Amino acid sequence: MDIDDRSHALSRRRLLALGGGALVSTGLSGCGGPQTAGTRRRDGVPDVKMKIPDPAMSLPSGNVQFRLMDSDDTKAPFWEAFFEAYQAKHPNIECTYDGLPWNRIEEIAPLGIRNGTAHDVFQLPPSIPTTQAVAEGWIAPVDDIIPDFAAWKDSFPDGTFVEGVQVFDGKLYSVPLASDRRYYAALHYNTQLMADAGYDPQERRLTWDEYRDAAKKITKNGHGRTYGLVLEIGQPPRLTAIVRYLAASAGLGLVDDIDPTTGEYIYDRDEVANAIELLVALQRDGSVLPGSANLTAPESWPRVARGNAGMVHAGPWVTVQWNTQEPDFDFGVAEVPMDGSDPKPLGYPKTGTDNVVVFSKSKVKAVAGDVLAFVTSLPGQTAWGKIVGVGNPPIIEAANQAIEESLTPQAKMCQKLADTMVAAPSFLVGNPDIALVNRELKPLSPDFGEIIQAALVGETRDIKGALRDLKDRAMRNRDQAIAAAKSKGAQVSLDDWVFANWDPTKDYRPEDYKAR
Amino acid sequence: MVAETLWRRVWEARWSYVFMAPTLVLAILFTFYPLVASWYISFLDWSGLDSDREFVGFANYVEAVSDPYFWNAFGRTFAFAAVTVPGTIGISLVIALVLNDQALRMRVVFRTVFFLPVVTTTAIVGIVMSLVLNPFDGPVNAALLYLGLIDRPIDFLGDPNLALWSVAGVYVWKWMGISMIYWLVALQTVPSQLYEAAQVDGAGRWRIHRHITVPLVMPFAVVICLIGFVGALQTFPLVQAMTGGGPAFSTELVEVYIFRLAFAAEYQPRLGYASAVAVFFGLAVLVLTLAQAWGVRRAATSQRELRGGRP
Amino acid sequence: MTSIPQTAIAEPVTSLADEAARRPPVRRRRSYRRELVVTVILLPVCLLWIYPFLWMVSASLKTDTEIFGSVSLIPEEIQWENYARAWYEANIGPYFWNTVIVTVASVAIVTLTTAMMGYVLGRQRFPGKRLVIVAFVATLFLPEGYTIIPIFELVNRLGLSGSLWGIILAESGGAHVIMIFLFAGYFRQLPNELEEAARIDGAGFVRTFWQVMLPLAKPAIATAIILSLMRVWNSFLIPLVLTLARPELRTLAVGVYSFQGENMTDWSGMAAASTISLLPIVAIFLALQRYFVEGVAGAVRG
Repeated sequence: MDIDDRSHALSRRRLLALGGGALVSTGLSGCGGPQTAGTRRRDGVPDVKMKIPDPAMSLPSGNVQFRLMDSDDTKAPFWEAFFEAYQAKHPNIECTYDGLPWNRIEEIAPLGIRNGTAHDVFQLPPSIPTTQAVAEGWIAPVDDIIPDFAAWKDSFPDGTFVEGVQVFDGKLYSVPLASDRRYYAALHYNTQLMADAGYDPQERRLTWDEYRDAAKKITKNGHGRTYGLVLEIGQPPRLTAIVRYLAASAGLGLVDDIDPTTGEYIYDRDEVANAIELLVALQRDGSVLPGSANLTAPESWPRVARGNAGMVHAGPWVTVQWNTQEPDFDFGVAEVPMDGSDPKPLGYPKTGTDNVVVFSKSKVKAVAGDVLAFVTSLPGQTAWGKIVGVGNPPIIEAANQAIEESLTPQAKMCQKLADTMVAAPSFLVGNPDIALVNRELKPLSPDFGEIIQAALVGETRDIKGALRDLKDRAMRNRDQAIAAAKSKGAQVSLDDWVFANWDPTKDYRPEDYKAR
Repeated sequence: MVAETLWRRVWEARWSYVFMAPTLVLAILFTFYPLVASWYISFLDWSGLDSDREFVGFANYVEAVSDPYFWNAFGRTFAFAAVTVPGTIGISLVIALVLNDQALRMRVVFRTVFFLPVVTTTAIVGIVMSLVLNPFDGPVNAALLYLGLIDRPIDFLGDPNLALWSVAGVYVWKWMGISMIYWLVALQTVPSQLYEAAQVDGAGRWRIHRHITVPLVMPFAVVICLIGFVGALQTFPLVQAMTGGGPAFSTELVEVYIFRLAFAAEYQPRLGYASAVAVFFGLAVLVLTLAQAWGVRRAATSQRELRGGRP
Repeated sequence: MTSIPQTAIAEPVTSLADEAARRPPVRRRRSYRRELVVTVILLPVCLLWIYPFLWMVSASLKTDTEIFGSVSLIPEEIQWENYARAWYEANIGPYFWNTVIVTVASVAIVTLTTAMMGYVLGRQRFPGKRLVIVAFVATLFLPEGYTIIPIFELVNRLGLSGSLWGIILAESGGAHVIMIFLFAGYFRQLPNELEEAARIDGAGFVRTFWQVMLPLAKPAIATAIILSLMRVWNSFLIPLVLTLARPELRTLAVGVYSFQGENMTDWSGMAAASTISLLPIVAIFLALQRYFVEGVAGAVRG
């Protein structure tokens, strides 16, 4: 359940790799440290030289190893460039970077924690909530290892650090390296094919009908070699993101799967059912690339760049990927098509994403502190922004301005779409005890994504019935989790999910929490 | 006295124990201990990673019995076996009969080719096959379209009604070679004099097979079926690589379901429950295998009695 | 599972070649026509049978665009750099050698230990034999839960995590019942005179095994090597779990997945890596397959 902000961030991020679930259809990516410059063609990645400052605290003088693991995306080139510079500065520190897909991190992190070989700095997988990692003593607070901690903490935007999300008993355990103000389901399309179909989303936002018509026309013009849309049906969590964006574009205000004005799950709302029906209609029109049923998101994006499909819903990381790897591919980025006249903006969590933690048994915590301090400094974040790009935008606002001019037109569009997003209320900020409820939530089977998938492959005809049933199960599940959390001492009630003063078109500010 | 004799026998056989020691030590460490440990885990409410483990007795087993996803996967698993075992056994018997002909000079080449898929890495084969079967640009659909056998591509792995049977087809292709070898071995036991006598009598090839070869190798069928059946339940790498259990759970066999529980992504994994499901499934398979063995063996015995002691 | 109904006709083990030599040429001319017909039918079937492998090799020599754009197996222009990329950039080179080390060591350990065990079970009498056999057969039938976690913790406690030794031991450490009974069956049907002659020559237990019996078991050894090779070379979960902390120790089956990153999919590189990882095992199989059928045959009849 994506209720707390952290798991929201992570669960969205893991859309990239999980869901398809295939151990192999996603798989390991480049690893082995700077000496193995990654597994893929790095053409087009900007060559940014980083100047590593002298350490503010004393670092080990003997030969030591420092290992870092994250979910890669487009982050690998940054870490490789950074570690090259860092090793040049500190020849006695051997750095290793492992960029892995989420499903691999799910397996590796717990086992590494168990036998004391976890990476010194790593991203926690969604199956290990930060609360649990702190309670078990698996991760260390960074208060004492980051130089000049108080000033460093202040350099982040207001509202980044939240008790119960990254802060526990006043100590900070989890450091965000990037902002999660990202538009996850932007329409990425082949400019030429879209023009041939008679539409220009840059000029005016498409409506659902136009979107469906464009897909039909692209398919018709493609004569079996090109289809209107590629849809990652093999990865249910990605489908939920697309449906949420479409539902919001039809006027539904939502935070994750909840309507904060009532605190209820949104599954039974007409906008949700209509969004799914729209995708099913595209499928029935024959506008969806055959074979989509088994595709994960990473497998589906190249289909557009290759000309097999005209459109795909994707996050800004795909913009970066196409810009660097397919510099000749002419594509556009636009908002999801809208239905009706009152589309709502999407919310984003202020707590950032790409949170990394420090392993409690790490022997080189000072190095970890030094590395984290640099990566979150303005020079570090600027280098991050220039290399990683809008796929994982810097969390320090000044760094975002510093990279503005280096952006491609499509990347600028991604930034613009991100700017349309508003700060969402966080249930956890409202009541930190919700973290305890989240721990008690049981998996729903089938869940939202699986229901959408079943509808798309023709297994479920009664979509509305399945969604109503899902809502009932989700509500009951939450009631039971609340009861279980209360029996363990949590102070929580259903009202904690209700934000009656919420306006979906505006930022939800700290003072709004008090006023609700 | 008895103890003394036993001791003497043990001492006389001391080299036997020395020879067994390495295997025994390795087996105890890496087979028996993990086996027993996994039974113990099945009685725990434990995610497999944290210190929070609670002994819950048979609660996991009780939950498994009432878990519809488990029973769906269970049914699918046996449907899968019911299709792949006869398919594998039948095709391999035909091929073995053809290849058992000593006069066929290329038989070693053919045998090698048919066995080749068996030695290859299942996960890699799974990826390759999902590309080969792709409805958009996979060669299989391209060939079928070209030959005019179909007029629109078949979504072998994307259609929930078809995906399981597509995986089953790949499974038969991958493992047929093993059964073929077993049949070839079985066929070698048929004395060649029998063939010669039959040929002198002027019996046709199929009549020879029907009346001599097949009845003689039938006893082997029990074992070949059993091995095939047990193998057909172990499909995890292939299914995981080809469909990951999807679409819409249509290829979620028990092993895939267990993996989903043990490494469940967004939620806490449930190693205890996953172990319980695995043990329960193993018990069910054991019972069914024994029943099958008993049944086939009985059938074979009565058949032999009917024939009344032929050579 | 390998002990076989006594109803199987008792006949001394003969190799395929012996049998062919013994069989008189009956009706030669009809055989020729038959052979031609069978060959003509089987050849295309065989080509279809190995088509996926041909496709994989072909894909490893194409560009990504061509893999999905063209049905032809012949690449427009051979892309050797896919292999260079796989070998150097994706670390397939070191992974390859890790796999070779792990496989050679495990196969050697498994083959030797199971041969010794099989010899004892097949030819010796000693107190407790029945118990040992029952225990090993039981492992075939006893249901198991999730065993990877106990194995992982055991290797940690032995202090072997993060070394190739840990993988080698864990890979060697199964009960290998099939192989033990393979050897037992094979040794059992060897004539007693051999051992007696060796004893008269003054050979002890170890020398009899090492110099007389083991050399006779070549088909069983070849079969055992092929069986354990297939398992170790293709093994995934154990090397994955045991090399978490030391990526430089990964094996091929784990490393091949490195070609599929999270954002991009390098299909041609992956086909090249797959080809690299499948080639050795296919080559070894081709070299040993002559013995394979005999080995299985010996085991099944024993």
